[in-house]
Amino acid sequence: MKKFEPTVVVFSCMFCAQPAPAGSRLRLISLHCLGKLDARHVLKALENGADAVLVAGGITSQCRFIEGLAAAQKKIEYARTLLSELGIEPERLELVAAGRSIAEAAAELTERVRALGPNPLGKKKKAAKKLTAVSRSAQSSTLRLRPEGSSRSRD
Amino acid sequence: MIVAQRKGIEEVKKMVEGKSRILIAGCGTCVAVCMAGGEREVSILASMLRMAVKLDSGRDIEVAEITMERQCDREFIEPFDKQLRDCDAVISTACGIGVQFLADYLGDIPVVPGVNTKFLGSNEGGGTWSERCRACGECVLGETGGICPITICAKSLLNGPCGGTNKGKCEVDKDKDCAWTLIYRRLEKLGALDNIRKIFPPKNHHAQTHPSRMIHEAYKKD
Repeated sequence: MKKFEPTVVVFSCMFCAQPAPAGSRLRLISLHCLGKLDARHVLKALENGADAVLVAGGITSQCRFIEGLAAAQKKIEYARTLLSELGIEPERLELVAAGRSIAEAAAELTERVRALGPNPLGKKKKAAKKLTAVSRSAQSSTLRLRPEGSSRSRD
Repeated sequence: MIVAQRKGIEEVKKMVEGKSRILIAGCGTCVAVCMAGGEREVSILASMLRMAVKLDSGRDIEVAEITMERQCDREFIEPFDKQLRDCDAVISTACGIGVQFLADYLGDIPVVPGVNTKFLGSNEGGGTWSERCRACGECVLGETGGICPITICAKSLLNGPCGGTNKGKCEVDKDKDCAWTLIYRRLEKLGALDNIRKIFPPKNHHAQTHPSRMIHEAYKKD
């Protein structure tokens, strides 16, 4: 029986995250700022066949756009609650920050997801195309910085 | 603004059970600001619905997404007419007003709510909104230093405080501030403490019956 090799989508901050090696099952999406990442990107990645999602940032106090990583942390927690609500293991979503290596974190996540099994939604046909669409959506050049104290957020 | 909160996915899924072409219609105004029903939340709900149905029954369903500026005015709905009529059911993530308006507009296509409309409120920052207005139809904010006794007082007292006020906290909910303590302090700051002596007559509930209807004086016909 073919060994299950998880497909991991990695959303990575291009300024702060430690570089990751190319891996056949790592789908790397580089963002100008993790603040751009939203729960919908995580859901779309899983909906379109990813077995896990890794979000890679730097150190909160050194965030180039000040609030990007902090904003991403909140959204990741929110995405985890949505996954739980769907009955999908929230452990399929991981945040690596504070200078940890993406390669190491991806390897750990891969092991964990091997134990969990493949994405319960199964693989979609043309998954590669759809993951490209997720990538494009997350990388769009619109980046809006929120003024301090503002709670209104839109991508 | 109107503050709403998203419904759970199980409840939404149940409302559109058996439908295979669903349209989620978001609203770009109040519900977008409180992160319940704007474009982003529509996208999240669409993904969640497809995933939930797939996990439940293995079925793939079509879920289209639109977001209009508002769902309480025809001019904002009409440009989406074709898409709205080209589905089996619409999930509206607008407030209750939008859901009903859209349902009236479409007539023979079911429109179900994707959010629960909670209250009229303001933004406290950090993802928190608090109720500020009950739309009672007889605004007394001019006399109470801008603090609404109908909304903020748990008993909606017009001539408070009640005997239960306790160190500035409310006896009904000790985590809440006593509205009349807040009013007193605000009037004191404004140098308008004399207002506290004014006795309001019993509230005229006929000023605002339900369902209400209002015609602007410029449009009234003789």
